[in-house]
Amino acid sequence: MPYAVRLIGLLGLLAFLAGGAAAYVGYFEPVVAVMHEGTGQVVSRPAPSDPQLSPSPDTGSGRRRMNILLLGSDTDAKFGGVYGTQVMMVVSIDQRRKDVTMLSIPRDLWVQIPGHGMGKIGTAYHEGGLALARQTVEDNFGIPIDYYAWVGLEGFIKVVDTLGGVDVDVTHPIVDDRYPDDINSADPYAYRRLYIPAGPQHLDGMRALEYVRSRHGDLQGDFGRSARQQQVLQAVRSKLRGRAVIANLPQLAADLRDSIRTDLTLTDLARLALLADQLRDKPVQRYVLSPPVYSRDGWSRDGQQIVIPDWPAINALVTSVILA
Amino acid sequence: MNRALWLLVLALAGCGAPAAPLPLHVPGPGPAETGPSPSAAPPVRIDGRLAFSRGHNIWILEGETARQLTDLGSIQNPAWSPDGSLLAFDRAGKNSADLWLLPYPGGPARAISSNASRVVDNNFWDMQPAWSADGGSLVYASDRGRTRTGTLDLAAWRLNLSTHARTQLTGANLYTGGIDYPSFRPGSSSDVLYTSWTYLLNNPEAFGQLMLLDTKTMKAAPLTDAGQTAMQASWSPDGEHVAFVRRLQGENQIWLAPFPARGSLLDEATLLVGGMNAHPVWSPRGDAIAYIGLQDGSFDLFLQPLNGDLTTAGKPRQLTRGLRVDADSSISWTA
Repeated sequence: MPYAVRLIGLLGLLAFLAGGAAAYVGYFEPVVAVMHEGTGQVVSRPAPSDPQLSPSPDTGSGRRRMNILLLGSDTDAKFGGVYGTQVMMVVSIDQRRKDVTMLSIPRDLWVQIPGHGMGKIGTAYHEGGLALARQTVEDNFGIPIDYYAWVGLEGFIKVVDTLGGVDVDVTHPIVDDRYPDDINSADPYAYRRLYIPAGPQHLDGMRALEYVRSRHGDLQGDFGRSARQQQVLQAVRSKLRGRAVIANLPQLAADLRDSIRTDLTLTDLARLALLADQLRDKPVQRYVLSPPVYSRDGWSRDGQQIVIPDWPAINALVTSVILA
Repeated sequence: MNRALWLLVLALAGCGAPAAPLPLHVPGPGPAETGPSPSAAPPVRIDGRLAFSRGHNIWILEGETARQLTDLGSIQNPAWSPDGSLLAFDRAGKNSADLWLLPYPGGPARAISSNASRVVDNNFWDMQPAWSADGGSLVYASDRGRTRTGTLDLAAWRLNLSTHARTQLTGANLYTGGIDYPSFRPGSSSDVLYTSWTYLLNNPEAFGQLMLLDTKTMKAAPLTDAGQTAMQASWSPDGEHVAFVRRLQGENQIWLAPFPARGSLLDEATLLVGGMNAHPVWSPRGDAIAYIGLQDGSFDLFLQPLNGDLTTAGKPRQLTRGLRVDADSSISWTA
């Protein structure tokens, strides 16, 4: 799900809010402490395989791009701890050119999961947690991941609400008769009907979740919602402008306890903060690895409906927008 | 139609419909709970009454004062009857939405549909009502046709308020959301304008296209080009012009166009207002357009005065400031 969005929200929030002022670092410290306390799942950063490509972002020097893997999934205990990621997105920040690229990876993309054979990429998180999800992305796409962040459903709602909601132009009416009715519900398989009208509107946390989570309302299914996730993420970013948001940081930190997992350190945040102002008005390039350009629908040998990657096209894209 | 007749229509409309009691809060005229801009610019006064949704309750802007009309919640898309004595609106439940009628300035509101069911799949959406010129019918968006077709997406329907007969007017393109915001053309008993959401052959991204349906022939014709979203259209009082939202250059711009010859497109459209806007509506005299615009992080009401030739008369004027109007709801203006 779009819970990665929350991550982004948080990351973006911290970065953009920081507004380039190292003086804010002290202010952020409790926020970071909460994030780490809440995660319980910190993944050690593997040594870069290519020093030229991957100098540590902690050092503040070297590699031009910073890549953040954003993951989102159903709330932890919903299925007894068995769940895959519904959102998998790489946010790549070019630190020299000061631009941002979002790359959404379909959860059903059929890839090699290290140590587990072929499978849907969204299952990597279930099979091996954040470490395996990260390794799977790195191995298949060749994208070095510097940071990760995970957000759950309720965390997403809280982030958006803490920010006062987001303003979004809903691309077309969303009609979904099978929308999961699993928030504050004892039945994880319950569903309900959903209608969101088209056009500009203000979305609170719950409504924003509905917009980015629905996948039955258009021909694009999971790809359509990936695009909506990116759209909301941009709205979150724009919402983060303004010093007034700083006042919400303590509340945000409290909201996110147990709702976000990340390996961002205070030093990392400080570096992100230094990028903040320079990225504010830069356009965001958004890509979804959807058919027909980057993938096609298909079936696995064991009968799963999957998305088959077009690796030449994907590699060309990744090379041009992230690795170049 | 006089008030007594309206009340009769209202009473008849309630017959056969599971009439929920109306715990609507209908305060009399009083001080605004939240008014238009207090500061720099002098307040802008409007003629007539502008109904809008805020916090998903109906609010009325009259003169220069805004006040809350209902407190039931989950209400949106208010629409004044032609004589201004009734407000139609929709009220959403968890899985459904119903049409309601509310007398103005006060009186019991009444649901004229009952679409909620404990069985999720047996619920329906009835939404976005608009009145016929004679006040005898509503046209609205609904998915109640899915019991026959299986299509989840919404189509345009007409409800005869006297006979309670419901007629499906359009179909719906699958997996687009269907159609939205249908409206009768003033002075015509047969023309219905609406937005049809659809796809181009090789592009899975849905777009909105304004369509005109002739209910005599049941033939629909496009009014805008395929591929570029146009939506939320509003008729001028004389039915000779249309204001609508066009999604262009990352904005939701408001455009005006003379209504073309039958079968032609709105080719002579002109840009009225840029920015992030929604739901334009004409003043009763046709000399201004009110709309919802995003300003300083809040959706508010704006007014664009028009000259006699429908060119802009000065810059848009902000009617409310920081009011956080519901932009997911249409607005309606009566004399």
